[in-house]
Amino acid sequence: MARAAVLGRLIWRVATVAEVREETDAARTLVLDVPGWPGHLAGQHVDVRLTAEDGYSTQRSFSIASAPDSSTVELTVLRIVDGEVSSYLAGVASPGDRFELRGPVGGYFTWQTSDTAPVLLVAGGSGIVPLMCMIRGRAAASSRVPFRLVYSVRNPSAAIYATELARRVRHDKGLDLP
Amino acid sequence: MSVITRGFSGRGRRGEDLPPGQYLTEDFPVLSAGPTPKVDVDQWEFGVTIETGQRHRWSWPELLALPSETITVDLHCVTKWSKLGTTWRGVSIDTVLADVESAADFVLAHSYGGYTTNLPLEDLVDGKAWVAYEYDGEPLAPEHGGPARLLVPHLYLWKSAKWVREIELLLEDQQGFWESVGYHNYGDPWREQRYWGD
Repeated sequence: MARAAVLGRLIWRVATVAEVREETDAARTLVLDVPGWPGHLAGQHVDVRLTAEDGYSTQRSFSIASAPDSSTVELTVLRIVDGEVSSYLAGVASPGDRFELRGPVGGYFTWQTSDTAPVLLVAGGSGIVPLMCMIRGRAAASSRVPFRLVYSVRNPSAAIYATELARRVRHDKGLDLP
Repeated sequence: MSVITRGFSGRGRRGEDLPPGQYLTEDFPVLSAGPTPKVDVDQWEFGVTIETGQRHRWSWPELLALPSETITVDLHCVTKWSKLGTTWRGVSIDTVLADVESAADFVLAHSYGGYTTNLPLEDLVDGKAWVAYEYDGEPLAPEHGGPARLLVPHLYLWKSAKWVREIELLLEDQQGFWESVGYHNYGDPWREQRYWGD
């Protein structure tokens, strides 16, 4: 995995929910418009800050799901029991809602098209998200670098991106899901 | 001015004892940049290298023979979780450095497995840091940095290098692993110094 330079100061930007996609019973993808988004590498994450009306705020980190060159930023969030932020993002947030976000963060766990070595991706549950970003980025760049994904889930209905993965395994040459 | 997020009320209100942006957790998350190194205490060694290259070293029995302290401290991880009132046993860095003469102002901590992190020397002395080898009354588990880790609880937890192997004293600051890829050079949780420029 490449170690890439991270941009300088990370400022908070306003993200507006453009679209919501249900992925599983508990996971949703938020498609976000983030004016001024500087772009990201596959595998990076963002910090999300939610602020309530009384000024209370809290932060969490989420992996980016969308390919590096996409015009929007997509986060796929798994709702966890009592999750203060995940139950908002994967339950309440609707198109037009706004919150703060900064990033991209993390220059270590990334994949770039210039990396030519075969890649083994191993994920459990929502851990698929940053790896999907890599799979999408690979496809967007028409890369043929061999990718093998091993994905473990508690039950078949908990598999995030199942339909897209099945399609990609058929069409993305060199991607394989044993 | 923060953006108010419609429909978000928040579950809790931040207590006085949590730094900004942190939330309380009761479990003990494990986050590592690489695989957990297997370190046999028979082969284990801890060293302090000074700016001349001279090295002071301790074997595992020698470390255990040093005076130890039991401390209860709060932990703050840059990934936002905080864990309060954790109890550790270990050797104060003051004890380790008692017979070490150096003009250095900076430290680069090295771990088994290759991880590094940098700190000002003054943040390791005067009762602020330990080489910890017990957590909650038990030998420190490998996933939490065992057999021994650095413990610097007043800074974000990535500064508390797991599997610590060496403290390198330096005349000039040298960035460690996360510090070189965008994380803050100092990492004070109370000033929310997470990333470059914070």
